[in-house]
Amino acid sequence: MALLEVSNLSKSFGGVHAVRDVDMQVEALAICGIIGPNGAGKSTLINLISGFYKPLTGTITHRGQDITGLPSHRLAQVGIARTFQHTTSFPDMTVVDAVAVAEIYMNRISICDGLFKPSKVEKWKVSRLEKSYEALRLVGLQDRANVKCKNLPHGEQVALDIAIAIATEAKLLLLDEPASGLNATEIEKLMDVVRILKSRGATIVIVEHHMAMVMNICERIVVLNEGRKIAEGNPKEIQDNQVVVEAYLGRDAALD
Amino acid sequence: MLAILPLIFSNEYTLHLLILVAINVIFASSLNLISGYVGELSLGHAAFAGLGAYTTALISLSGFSPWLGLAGAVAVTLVVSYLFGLIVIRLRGAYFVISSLAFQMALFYTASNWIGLTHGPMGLLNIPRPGLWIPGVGSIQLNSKVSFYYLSVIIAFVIVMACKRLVRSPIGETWVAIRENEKLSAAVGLDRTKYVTFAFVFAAVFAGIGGWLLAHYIQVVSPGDNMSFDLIIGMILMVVIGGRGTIVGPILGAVVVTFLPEYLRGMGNWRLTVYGVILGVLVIFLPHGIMQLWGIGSSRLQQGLFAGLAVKRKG
Repeated sequence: MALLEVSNLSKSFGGVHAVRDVDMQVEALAICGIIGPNGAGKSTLINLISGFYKPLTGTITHRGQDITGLPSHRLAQVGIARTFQHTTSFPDMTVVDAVAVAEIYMNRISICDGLFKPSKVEKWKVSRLEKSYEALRLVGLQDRANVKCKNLPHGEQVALDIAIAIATEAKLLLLDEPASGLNATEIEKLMDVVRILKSRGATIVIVEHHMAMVMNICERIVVLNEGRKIAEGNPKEIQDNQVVVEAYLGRDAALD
Repeated sequence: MLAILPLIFSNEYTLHLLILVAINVIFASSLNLISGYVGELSLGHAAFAGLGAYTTALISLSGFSPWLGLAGAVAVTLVVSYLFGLIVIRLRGAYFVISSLAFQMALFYTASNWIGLTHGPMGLLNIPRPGLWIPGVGSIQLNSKVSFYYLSVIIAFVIVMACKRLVRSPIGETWVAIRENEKLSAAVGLDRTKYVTFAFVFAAVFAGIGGWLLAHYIQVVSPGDNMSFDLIIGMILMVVIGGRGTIVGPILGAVVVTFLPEYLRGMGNWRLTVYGVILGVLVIFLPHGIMQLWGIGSSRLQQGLFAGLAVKRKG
């Protein structure tokens, strides 16, 4: 059984069909890419899976459970985390505090504890530090722990976003264009991080424009165009697919 | 230190101001939960204070103990803020501000026009001072200013401590996370509706307790004194002048906003003008409040609306 199954998913804004009847499956421990020209509906699809949009039709199943239409905070609680395209994380927090935010939802502290047992709160804060630093080490930000998020350069900002997603203990990570705005070295680093995450048992879905990266690390690729899925397969199959080439370059160019 | 203040300032007038400071600390600290930490400007805060005041006035004027009035004030503000929260918490930014203002206006006009219950603009008079039974001393009536000063300071202290602990607990961390990045906080499993409701209800209940103190201190409850728009402007001033999103800020703000106009009394007709200029200068040069001087309050908050509104009131 696939970890994530999307079937018949549609979403429209006014008269625009952003996503139309998309089916896709993501196997556990896979690295899956979603690509397509601008306006193909990639980000809409991620927003649907992560609960930021409600689908018009169709279902989304995670580990055999129907999660269609659940609000995003519920999805994070069942183990689906995401990053954002133009991310600012928590601008005024330090890096380590921002990662710690991802661990709040797992707390076992009631309001009464908060009001009457401050020592229990302090203990909990110390206990989650270890995990926060582990997430930071994974993305190579451990030395930047006490810098304010807003002072991070864009590359580290992306890494922080991934660290925050890791800290939620999610097993399914949705990365929304992580490579945009990164230089070649940073993209290398990013790919290393994604591979490490996979080796630690995470399943990863990447929406991306950066072809070299997608072809390099994804085992399976879904291609969207004008809201529809036009192809699916491994990188080799996608590169050779005539329909995909046409979608990107236009029919005439493809014929040449 | 707070305990010996009455020995230093033994004159009634200073004590009166100190009691008002304590009550204002309650109002400002509670408003700070929703407007400083969560970052939604609530113009309905004074209405919750008024609701607490009217509740206790009606209860204690019916012959029951003011302490039962306190329980009533807490219960009524809790229920009303929860119910109103069901609507307003779904809103953000300007929409939150406008609907909380509508709530404030609705309660103000209800208090003004429901003559049978509230005596309208005349208000409810002769609200009794609470009594207190102290072991070994027996039952005393808190009629003197000194005794009421201690009562106010104790309650203000407890509420500030409660705010501080809430802010440091996972709830408070969630408030700040939602303020800093609402989408990301949802993506890491934080339920905005639930946690903002907590902030809203706690803020309202604390304001209700402040209203209870004010009602039994002034011994009069009227729409103008307990529900008016001026009241909420004062509270916002305290939070902004002191420093939004800090625990100490609203306390400093309450001291400044309570004492400053009194110190300016010597200026006669120029008093309010000078007061306005001072506040305007403070807001312009210390947009994060007095706390900015210590470098603690420099949080990026919802500046546009919040600071903008404060500047407009003074400009």
